[in-house]
This record gives sequence, structure tokens and C-alpha cells, in this order.
Amino acid sequence: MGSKGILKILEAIIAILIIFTVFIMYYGAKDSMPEFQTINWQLKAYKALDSLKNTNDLRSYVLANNSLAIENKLRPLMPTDANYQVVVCDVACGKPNVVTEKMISINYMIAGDVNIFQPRQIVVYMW
Amino acid sequence: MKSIKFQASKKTKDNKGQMFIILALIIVTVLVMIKVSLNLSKIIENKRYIEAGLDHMEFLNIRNEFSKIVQITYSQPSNISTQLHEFTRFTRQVMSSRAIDFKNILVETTYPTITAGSSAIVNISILNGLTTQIQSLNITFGSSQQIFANMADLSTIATNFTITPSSNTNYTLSVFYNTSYENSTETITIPVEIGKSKFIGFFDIQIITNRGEFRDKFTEAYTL
Repeated sequence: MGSKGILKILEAIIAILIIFTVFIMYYGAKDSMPEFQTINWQLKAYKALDSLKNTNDLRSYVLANNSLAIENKLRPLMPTDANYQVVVCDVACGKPNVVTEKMISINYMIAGDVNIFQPRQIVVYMW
Repeated sequence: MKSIKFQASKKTKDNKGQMFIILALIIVTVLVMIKVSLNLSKIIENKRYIEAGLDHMEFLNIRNEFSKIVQITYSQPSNISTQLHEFTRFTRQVMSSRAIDFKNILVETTYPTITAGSSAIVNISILNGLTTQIQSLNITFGSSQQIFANMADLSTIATNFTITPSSNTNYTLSVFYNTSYENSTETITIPVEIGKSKFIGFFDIQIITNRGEFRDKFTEAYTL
């Protein structure tokens, strides 16, 4: 192999290095594509609870500690691709006993209902 | 002619190595263009914007519940103040467990049923929920002023002013306070109506998340 052959191999290596360097710089793991699905779930859950509150159902279910009724009322308003569980609690809230890598939640507060002051949290866990 | 063609072909063969670099530069340009067209930073910015929207919805939820407390305690007006303070503590606990700062200051004014020409006592109660000590507090109602100092976090100051209205009058309540990080003056209109007893609540509510700050000041007046 002559010196010209070595030069060509060297140029090919430089070319590959240029491509790799640019690829790593621009497509490195630093900027991963943001996750929008979970945010949409949270937005929908918030709006669902808002609309349930506007009908006054939410306050009565919360004071009765009836999280199942809230779950049922939320069903038509929640994203179809999300599993969810509602927890009604005071300050400290338990998590559902579900094994999943991706679990998100929203917290909603209620001060009480007519003549009943009883601040509670409604946590909607989604996965 | 034949000689020129031969020379050109030889030159292309000699430049084959450089062609790799030219090709690499073209590929790099394409890669950069793809990246620019993806505009990832804008997508991330959009995500942050939507997340801030979520925080704002949470803030509105808290704000509306503070307003709701007065309505749900309507039949027991003596409990309004206690319950507003309790809800402040509850909200702060819930928020702090999620690394969100919740701050508020409540100015509650109540007066009994007013008779024209007779004196009446206006009760003013202030809750410091600013998560820091109020160093000095000046309350001015009409032409009277009262000064307080060193008001601890989550403490309340209550004071009375006497009025003798002969007709429906709007009084001005001015509350000045200073803390280690802010000085503020709130001017609240207190509508006094003959034959009525009222609660007038001034709410300054704020949440600070890692994505932004949300604050609202509003007044709610209810006839008791």
C-alpha cells in the first residue's frame, strides 16, 4: 500500500470522526424528547375534578369518604388510555398498591360542604 | 483530446479520499438541519408552559376554596376566622409535603348590625401566613391607627375600632406590613350598611413551585 492509500484511509477516518462527533454533540442523551402523555392525563384529571366539583357531587362524595363514587363519576371524563385510582385523605395520603414504573398524580383540595368544614385532599393516581 | 480525458480521470481517482470528507460534511449538514427542524428546545418550552398551567389550576383550586369557606360557614359566622386559619395550616402542610411554598395573609373585618347614629365596634383580625415574621404592622381604619411589632408566622392579631355611621358609608382600611423580604400596603374598602352585619375578607394568596409563582389578592364581602 502506497502513501496515497494511507492518506485515503486517514481521510476516511477523519470523515467518520466528523460524523460521529456531530452526532454525539447534537443527538446526545442530554435533550430527551419530553413526555406529553402524562401531562395530558394530569390536565384531563384536573378538569374532570373541576367539573365534578361544579355539580357539587365532589364535596358530598369527599365528605362521605366515597372514593369509589368519585372514580365512577370521573370515568367518562378521564383519558381512556390511563388507569387511575382516587384516594381521599387528610394531609398524608397512601399510594395505591400497584407495581408500575410510571405513576403520576394530581392533588385537589376541598374545604368542606355547606355547614361542614372538613378540609380534605383528593389525589388521583394515574399509570 | 485523449490525453486530457486521461488526466481528468486520474485526478478524480487521486481525490477519492477527499470525497469521504466532503460526504461527511454533507451528512453533518443534514444531521444539523434535522436537529434544527425538530426544534426540541421549543417543545421543552411548550411542556414547561403546560406544566405551569397545571400549577395555575392548582392555585385556582386553593384560591376558590378559601373563598368557599366563608360560604360554607355562613350559618356560624363566629367560626369563619378559625376555619380560615385552619385551612391555611392545612394547605401549607399539604403543599410543603410536595415541596411547594404556600404563603398568605388574611385580613378579616366583621361588624355587628349597624344602627344609624349609634356607635359600633368593627373587629379586624389579621393572620400572618407569610412563613416569616412580620416586623411591623400598621392598621389604619378611617382616621385611627394601631401599630404592632414582631408578629410571628402563623400568628393572629385582632383589634377593634369604633365607628358611628349615620348612613351607609365606605370606610377605608389600610394595612401596612414589612417582612425581611417585602413591604406591602393593602387598601381595603369596608362597606358599612345601616341595618346589616358583614364579614369582609381580604385574601392575599401565593404559591411558589419550581416552575413559577402564582399570587392573587381579592376581597370577599358577605352579609351575615
